Parts: sequence; structure tokens; C-alpha cells
Amino acid sequence: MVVHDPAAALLRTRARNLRRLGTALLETQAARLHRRSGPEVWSGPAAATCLDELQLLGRRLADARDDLERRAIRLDEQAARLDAIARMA
Amino acid sequence: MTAFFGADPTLLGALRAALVRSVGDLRRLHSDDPEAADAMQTVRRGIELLELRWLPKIDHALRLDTAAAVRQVEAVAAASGPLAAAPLLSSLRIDDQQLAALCVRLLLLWHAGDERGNRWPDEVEPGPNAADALFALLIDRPRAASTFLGLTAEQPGILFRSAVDETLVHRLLLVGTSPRHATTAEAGRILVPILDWLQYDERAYLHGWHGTTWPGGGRDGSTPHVGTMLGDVIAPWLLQFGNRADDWGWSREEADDSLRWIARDDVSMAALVGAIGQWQQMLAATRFTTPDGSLDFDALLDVSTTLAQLASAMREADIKAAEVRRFWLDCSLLLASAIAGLALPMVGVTGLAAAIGTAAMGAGTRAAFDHLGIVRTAEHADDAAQARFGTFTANTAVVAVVSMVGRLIDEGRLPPDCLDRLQLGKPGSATSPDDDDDDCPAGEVLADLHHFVGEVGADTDPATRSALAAVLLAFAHPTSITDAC
Repeated sequence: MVVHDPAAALLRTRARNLRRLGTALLETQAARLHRRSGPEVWSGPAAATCLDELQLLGRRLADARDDLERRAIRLDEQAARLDAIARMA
Repeated sequence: MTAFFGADPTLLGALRAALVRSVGDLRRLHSDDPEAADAMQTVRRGIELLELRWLPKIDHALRLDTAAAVRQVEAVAAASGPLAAAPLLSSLRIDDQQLAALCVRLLLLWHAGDERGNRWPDEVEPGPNAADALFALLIDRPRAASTFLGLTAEQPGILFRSAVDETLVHRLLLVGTSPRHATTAEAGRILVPILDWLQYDERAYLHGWHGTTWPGGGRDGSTPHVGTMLGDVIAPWLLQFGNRADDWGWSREEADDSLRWIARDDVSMAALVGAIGQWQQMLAATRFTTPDGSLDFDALLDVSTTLAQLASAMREADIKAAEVRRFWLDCSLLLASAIAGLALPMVGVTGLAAAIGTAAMGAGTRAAFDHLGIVRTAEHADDAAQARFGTFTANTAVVAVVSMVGRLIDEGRLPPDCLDRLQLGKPGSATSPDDDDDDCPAGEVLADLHHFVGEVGADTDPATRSALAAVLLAFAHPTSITDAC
């Protein structure tokens, strides 16, 4: 019989939710805002700065997704350890 | 340093809206998990800073850019003339309303002359002038064209007394008042004052403008063929000259007077007769059934009244009989298709019969069209089939009723053989030539039609009976029998 620690199931649920959140972040319009701010929309130094900052926002969202993924992986690893302890016990 | 060199107000407005939506989206993304707190705080802070920093700048750019661009164009126009400024407009990123308003200002400047009141060079030299350039620009921006025509409707001289190439005036009117680009109310706000102006104020100038005629043809501000323009410009809006006059805020009498005035000009009327494509648009946009599937009597009456108005106006106009006949034939085809509920592709003058011939239709509709001679078979190969009922009023009534019967057969509401009972002006009919009042064939046809509907309707359900009665009443009202005779 496979033995699971109840706390491990909770950690895996949290990991799944973190991954969903990461995916949702990249699906927001914010992740694509820079595509709406090219030279065809406006031009000049301020417009160029705006484009840079919107691209930076896109990268931050991708970083946030990666951060959430790393945390989800850690939670999955903790869950695996708890299950292993439960099986040994 | 200028912060912004240029902006497309539409796209910049879209960026602004997307930024605001993004802030909301990220605020709505929520997690109670402490592991998510850092990441979410970072992205929320990032987007809120962007909103704080860029929304005011975008708003500023929207205001500043447009104003600066317009000032630049107006400065060029004031110094070198509206023709010199016109090319700048095409590269400007301004919306349709701003473009239309700017065109009006440039044309007013063109009419006013330079600061000393002298004419601009393009008015006193051969070739296209500022109005030609601006009209061409507006034609490519249909919504701007509608706005421009609306802005100048109370001063139609800006439209009719400016360009060298009158075809541009025609195209501008067509585009700007087309049902594809203008609402019914907008078209009315444009056309009613223009028709009023042409009819009562300025008709004489159209044939006697004092401008110089250039060797290459054309002259500034001359629109000698305005009659040709009006026919197909008003064609999609004929219902507003009849029962739907209220849509345009004028009285039935004013609307009818205008139509008759247009009809008095042979060229206008010929253009109206030739604008069958526009007619098709009008009928295609008219729904004869309400959303619950019942027949819309008002819509039927609107169309039948318009056709009767046209018949009356045409009698007063001097148009070649063959053109009138062709017009009524096309009208019959369109009306039959509309009542039978056929969806036809938009076709030109010559393709209508062919389009109907190949359209998907039920057996009842096909039998009805065959009966009318619209879809010819060996059995009914009668070249004169569409015009055999005495007058156009009678002909239209027959087309409407028979098409409706075909539709009702297809819907299973009338027996397939019921058209066999229709005997129009033939021996054995309700009013055969043996009758006393055989001196009015059209009246006999209409009376036969009433008899047929009464007979067929008696054997059917109330809804079908009322559908038939509605078509009959709209297109063959008892008074139309009197009129026909």
C-alpha cells in the first residue's frame, strides 16, 4: 500500500496553485503591453522609454512566473520528503 | 526637447486602455499562499508604477500631439495655401473627427483667400486644387467623409463650390452617406439640408457658375452634373422619402416634394433608375419579418409606398420607356427575392436575374417565381412575363403576393397547388374581360388578386391568412385599384 503524508498532499496542492498563478500572470494583458507601444503608436524619447519600461514589465512577469515555479518545485520536493518519511514510519 | 514626435491617437488610446485593464487584471490575480507574496508584490508594484508614470504622459501626448500637428498644418496653410497643407494631412495621425474638422477649416481658408484676400494660386491656375486633394483624402476615410459632410451640410457650397473634379464630389457624397458608413440619422442630417439648398437656393449656379473653365476640362467649384450624383446617392434612402420621412426629421410632404424635384431632372431620375445596386442594399436591409417570425406590415407598407411614390414621380419624368421598364423589372426581382426571403449576393444591374436563377430556394418559391416568369422554364418562357399586368402598381402587387404565396408553400402553410387558382385577367377569373369594367386591365388584375387571396386564405389558418392579407393590403390597397384606373 502506498503511504502518503496528509501534509504532503497539501504541499502539492499549493505547488499546483503557484504554477497556475504563474501561468495566469503570463496570460494577462500586462505581459503583452509592450506590443501596443511600438513606433507605430507613438514616437520620440518618451515613447521609447515607455516601450523599454513595458518590456521590462514583461520580463518581470516572466521572472515572477519562474520564481513561482521554483517555489512550486521546492514544495513538491518537501512533499516527496514527507511521503518518504511516512513510508519509512 | 519635444517629448513626443508623433502619435496615433487611436492606437495610443488603445495602449492607455490596455494599461488600465492590466492594472485591474493583476490586482484581481490573488493568492493567499505566502510563497506567492513576493512575486505578486513585485509585479503589482511594477504595473502600478507604470500606471502612475505613464497614464498622465499618454493623456498629455494625446492632447499635445494632436494640437501641435493641427497647428503645424494650419500654419502651412496660412503661409502657403491649403493645397500646400493638404499632403500633410495624410501623414498626420489624427482621428476621423479631427480630420473632418481640419478639412472644413482648410476649405474655409481656401474660399477666404490669403491674408490680403487674394485667391490662392491653385484657384487661378489649371489643375487640381486644395478641395480636390482634401476630398480625395476624405474618400479614403469613410467615417471622416460622413463627419465632413455632416459639418458642411448647412453650408453645402463648401462641398459643391470647391473642387475642380466633380467626380470627387460625387464619390465623397456616395461614401459619406452610404448605409455602410453613415447611420440613417447621419445620412438625413447630411442630405436633407443639401437637397433643400440645391432645390431652393442654389440650383441656378449649378449650370451657371462664374468660374473659369480650364482647357483640360473642369473648373474650380463647378458641379454641373449634380443631377447625376443625386440619383444614386439617395437610392439607398428612398424609404426616408416616403413612410419613414420621420427618420430624417422632415415631413412626408417635404420628402415627397424633394423626390419629385429630383425626378423632374431627367439626369437625376435616370441615375436613380440606374442605381439598382443601391436599391438592392435598401431592400436587403429591410426586414419583412419581425424577430418572432410574423410579417412586419409596416415594413411592407414602407416599401410599397416608396414604389408607388416612384411610379408617380416617374410618370412626371421624361425617361426612356426601356429604362423605366428595366428599372421596374429589377425592382420586381428584388422585391420578389426579399419577400420570399432569398439571400442574394449583391449584384450589378445585369446579374440580378441570373443570381435569382441560381439561388437556393424551395419548390414553392420556385413555382411562384416560375409563375411570375422570374425563373423561366420551357413551360413559362414568356419574355414579357414581368410586365404583363397592366401597370407597374399591379405588377408590383402581383409580384409581392405571388412571392409571399411561394414562401408560405415552402413553409407548409399553403398547399403546393394553390397557385393554380390564380387567374389574372383571364376568362373565368373574378374579373374576366367579359365583365362590364374591362376597360381597366390593371384594376382587374388587382381585383383578381384580392379574390385569389380571399379564396386561398379562407382554407388556411388565421396566421397565414393575415400574412397574405398584409402583403395584399400593402401592395394592392383598394385605393390603388382606383388609382390604377
